[in-house]
Amino acid sequence: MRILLIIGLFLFNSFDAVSKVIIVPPSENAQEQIQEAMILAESGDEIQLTNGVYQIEDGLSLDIDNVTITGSGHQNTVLDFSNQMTGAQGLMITSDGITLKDFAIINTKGDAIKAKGSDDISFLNIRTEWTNGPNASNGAYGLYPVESKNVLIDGCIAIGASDAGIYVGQSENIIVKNSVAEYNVAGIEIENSYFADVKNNIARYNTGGILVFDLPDLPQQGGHHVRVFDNLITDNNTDNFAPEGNIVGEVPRGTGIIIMANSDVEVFNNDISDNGTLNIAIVSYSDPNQESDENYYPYPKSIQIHGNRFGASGFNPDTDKELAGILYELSEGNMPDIFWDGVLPISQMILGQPEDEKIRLKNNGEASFLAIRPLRYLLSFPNPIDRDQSQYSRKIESLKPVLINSSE
Amino acid sequence: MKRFLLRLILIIILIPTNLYSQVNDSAILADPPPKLLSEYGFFLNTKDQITVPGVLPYELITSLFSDYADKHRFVYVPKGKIAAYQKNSVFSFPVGSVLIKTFSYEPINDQRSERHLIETRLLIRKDSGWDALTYVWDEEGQEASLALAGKTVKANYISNDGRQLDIRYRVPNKNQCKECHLENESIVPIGPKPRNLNRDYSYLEGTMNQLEKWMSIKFIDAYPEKINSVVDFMDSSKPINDRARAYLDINCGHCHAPEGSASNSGLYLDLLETREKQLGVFKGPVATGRGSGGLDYSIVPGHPDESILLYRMISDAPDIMMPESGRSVMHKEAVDIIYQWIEEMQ
Repeated sequence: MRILLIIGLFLFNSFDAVSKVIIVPPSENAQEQIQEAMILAESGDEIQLTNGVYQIEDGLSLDIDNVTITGSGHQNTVLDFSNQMTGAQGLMITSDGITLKDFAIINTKGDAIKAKGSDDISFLNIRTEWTNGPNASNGAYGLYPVESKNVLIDGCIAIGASDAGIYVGQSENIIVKNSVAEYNVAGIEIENSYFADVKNNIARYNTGGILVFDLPDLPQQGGHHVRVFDNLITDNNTDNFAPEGNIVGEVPRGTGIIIMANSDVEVFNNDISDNGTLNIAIVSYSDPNQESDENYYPYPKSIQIHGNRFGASGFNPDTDKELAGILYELSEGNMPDIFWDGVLPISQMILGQPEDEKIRLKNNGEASFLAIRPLRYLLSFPNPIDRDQSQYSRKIESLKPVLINSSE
Repeated sequence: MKRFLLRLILIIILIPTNLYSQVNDSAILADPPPKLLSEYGFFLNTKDQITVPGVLPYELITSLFSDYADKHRFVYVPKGKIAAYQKNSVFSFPVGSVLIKTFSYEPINDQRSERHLIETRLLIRKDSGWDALTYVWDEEGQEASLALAGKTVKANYISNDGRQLDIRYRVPNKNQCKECHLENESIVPIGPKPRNLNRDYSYLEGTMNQLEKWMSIKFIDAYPEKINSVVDFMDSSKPINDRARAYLDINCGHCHAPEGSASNSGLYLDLLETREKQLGVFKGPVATGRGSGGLDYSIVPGHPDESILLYRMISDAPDIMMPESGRSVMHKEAVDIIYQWIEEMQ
C-alpha cells in the first residue's frame, strides 16, 4: 500500500468530519491508486500528486463533492496520457465544489479535462497540452467545463487543442483569467453560456484567439453577458487544423476575436494585433442545410467594442475560409480591424434595428470598420459594404462584472 | 438442451447441501459493502451461475453491447416486498432489491473448455437510492472481489462469422457505472423496463412470459396490458426501423437523453424520442472534436457513410468511439443494421 494517508487537522466548513490528505506518488500502480482515491475520497479531502510523470492508460474520473486535487506545479506534476487506451477524456469531473490545482495533463486521446454539470469548479495553474504541436489528431479541448456553474479558470495554460484550448460550454457564471492559450484552433471559446468574464489572458499563435459563440439545437442557448477585457490577443496565425465538420473548422487562420450570435458582449481594453485575417468579427449563424430552430436567435445583438488597441491585421487573410473569402472580395483586399456581417432578421433589415441592439464602437484608436449591407449584397446592388463607423459611435453601457460563488 | 440438463442435474446435486441457502439481506445493505461476492449468497454454483431460490434469472429483448461478453441477469426482491410498476420506466424496486449481472465469455472450441467469468455487477436499491458495485472474478471463477476502481481483463472471443478478437475488457469503476446509469443526479437501472422484459424465458419449471412470472411470484405489483415492446434487434423478420431504434434505445438512449450524461450534445436516442432533429437527422455535431470524422451531420438519410452516428459506432479510437466506455471492439452486427437503417431512410 503505497498511498500515504495523512489525517489533517483541517475542519471542513459545514462538516465536522476530519478531512484527509491522500498522497499518491508516481508508481506502476499510480493510475489505479489515483482512481481509487477519487472514488473513496470524502467531502473535504485533498488528493495530492507529487513531483514526477504519471503514466495513465485509462480515463480518470471524480464524482465526490468538495474534493481538491493538487500537484506541485504544472511543470513538475504531469499526468501523461500518451498511451491512453480508453476514455474520451483524461479527467472527468461530475461533482460540485472541486478545485484542480498545479498539475498538467498531456497528450490525451480526447479532451484533457472535462467537467460536466459541476457547480463551483476551479482550475488553478493547470496545464493541458498536446506536446507534438498543432495536429488534427490532438484531442478536442484542453479545459472543458460544460453545463457547469461558477467556473473559475485562473493561471492556466492550454496548448495544442484541435478545437479549443479553454472551452466553456452551456455554463453560467464564468471567470477565465490570467491564462495562456496557444497553438490551439480556438484559444478561448465561450459557447452558449451566460455571464462570463474573460480577462487578462494571452491568446496567441492559435487559429482564432477568442471566440464567443452561440449554436442552435442545444439544451442551453441564447449566450449572453460576456465581457472580454484586458487580454492580449496576438499573432493567431496558425493554420486551422480542426477536424472538418466542427464549427471551429470554419474559423479563418489569423482571427483575433469572433462574436457569433451572442447578445450583450462587451470587448474592451484589449491589445489585438498581428492577426493575419482580421482582428474582430461579429457574425450571425447560418447553416443552409439545417432547418431553423425556432428557439434560437442566430444574430448578434448589443455588442460593444471600446477602448481597444489594435495593431496590424489583414496582411495574410485565409481566403479559403468562407468568411475571409467574402470579406476579402468585398473589401477589395483592404481588410478591416472590425467586421460585422450585417445580417439581421428580415424585418429589421427593412425597418431598422432597435437602438439598444445596435453595435456600439468607441475609442478604438485608428481601427477600421466594415459592415456588409446584406440586401444590397444579395441583390448584387452597388455599394454592398459600409465602412463608416461614426453611426455606431454611441454611449457605452458597461456590463456588470461577473460574480461567482466559489469556495475560494 | 444439454446445458439445461446439466443445470438440472447440478441443482439436484446441490440442493440437498444448500437447502437452507438464502440471500444474506444484511450484506446487501452493508456499508461499506462486502469485499467478496460470496458474502451475499446469491449463487449456488458460480461457474454455471446457478442462483439460490429467490434470485430469479431474466433476459432482455435487446441488450447493451459489451464487447461480445455474455450476460447472465438475475433479480432479487426481498421477501414480503414488491416492485411497483411505473409508466415508461424501470420498475420501482423496494429497498434491499438487487439487480445482478454477470459478464462472461463462453467456451471456445479447442481453445478454452471453460466459461471465462469476468465480473458481476450489482445494482443495489438502498435507502438513499441505487448503488452500483462491481466484483471481478478470480481466474478459477470461484470468487469475485469488489473492484471500486475498475480493472482491465484480457479476454478473447470468436464471433459467429469466425473473427477472432482479443479484447482488452474494462471492468468499469464506480464513476463509469454512473456515466450510463445516471438520470438527473441519481443512479437508475437501464434494462428492466416492461418494454424490454416482455418476452418468454425458459424457467426450470417451464417456459413463461417474464412479466407474468414476476407477477406470479409477487416481484411486481402490476404491468400494463398493452406494452409497446422493443423488438429483438437481431430479428430480421422485424422492420428495420424498429430494430435500429431498439438497439439505439438500450445502447445509447440512457446517456443521449435530456437527463443523461450526453444531455449537452442535444442528440437524443431514447425509444420515445420522435423529433427528427433530436434523433440526429441533419443535426450538426457539437463539441465533437475528431468524433465528427469530417462529417456534417449525425444522420444523413440515405447516406450512412456520411453519418457521424455510424462513424462513431465503427471507430475504436477512445476519443471517437461511441459509447465512450464499455466497448473496445466494433459491434459488427449492429453496425450492419444501423447502416441499412440510414441507407433506407427517406
